[in-house]
Amino acid sequence: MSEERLTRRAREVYLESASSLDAATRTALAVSRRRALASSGAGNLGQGAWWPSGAVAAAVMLAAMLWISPRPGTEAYHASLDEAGLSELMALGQELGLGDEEPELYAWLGQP
Amino acid sequence: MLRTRALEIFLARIEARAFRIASIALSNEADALDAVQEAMIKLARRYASRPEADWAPLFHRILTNSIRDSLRRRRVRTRWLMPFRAERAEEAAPAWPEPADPAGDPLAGLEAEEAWRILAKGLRSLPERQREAFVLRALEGLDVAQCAQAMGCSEGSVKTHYFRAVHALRGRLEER
Repeated sequence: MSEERLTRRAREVYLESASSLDAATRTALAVSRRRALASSGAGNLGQGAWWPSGAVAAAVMLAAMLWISPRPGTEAYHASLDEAGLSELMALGQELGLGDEEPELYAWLGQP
Repeated sequence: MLRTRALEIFLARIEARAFRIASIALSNEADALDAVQEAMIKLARRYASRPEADWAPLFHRILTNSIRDSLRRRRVRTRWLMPFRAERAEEAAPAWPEPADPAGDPLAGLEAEEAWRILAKGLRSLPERQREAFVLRALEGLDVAQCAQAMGCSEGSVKTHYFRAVHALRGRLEER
């Protein structure tokens, strides 16, 4: 028997045997296939898919908060400290005795 | 979604053949089903995003490793837990049937299942690497490069294993 004939015949027998599996085996294989496909989807959702999107969302929110909030030294920053807030801070400082220690410094910090 | 569908079609096409390949190596249907399931799950989990052309060699590589793991586990079980069962199984192995056409094709004129049983027995008698090369190259129709990828060796090794497998298998089948 030539090599070509052997391989051709072997392939025919192989494919025929694969297509004539009994129903129970076919069902078991179909169940395994569905399990594999389900585990693939679950794996993506559980491990990979949500992590990057969650991290990106958190980074965007943080960047937005930093961008929106006024920077120290700017007019908007000082404007954000209203009179009431400033007097509360002063009262707290007096309670703690900070104003007695370095009055010039706190007077300077209070300047707009 | 399309990728999942493509993967499903790929697995549906290959699963029965994979079962036959695993059956040759493991000689046990339950173990063969486990090996195929393991290979399908690993391919779906780890390599679904790879190009579709890579799926076949990757799947066969995973299947080969699953089969090896199964054989290793079985050897351990046999050695430590059931020292006498393997010998009994060998004694109980069915004899080869009489050849239908001794002068020509040894597989000619046989029922499909019987022809497969004889071919499987011939393949089982080959060394592991030769059997892998023959299954992938001749039965699965992979090219030499894909076989090398699946077997984890060079293309030259694939050709050598395949050449030896063809000659050994021809000899075994003609001996019948």
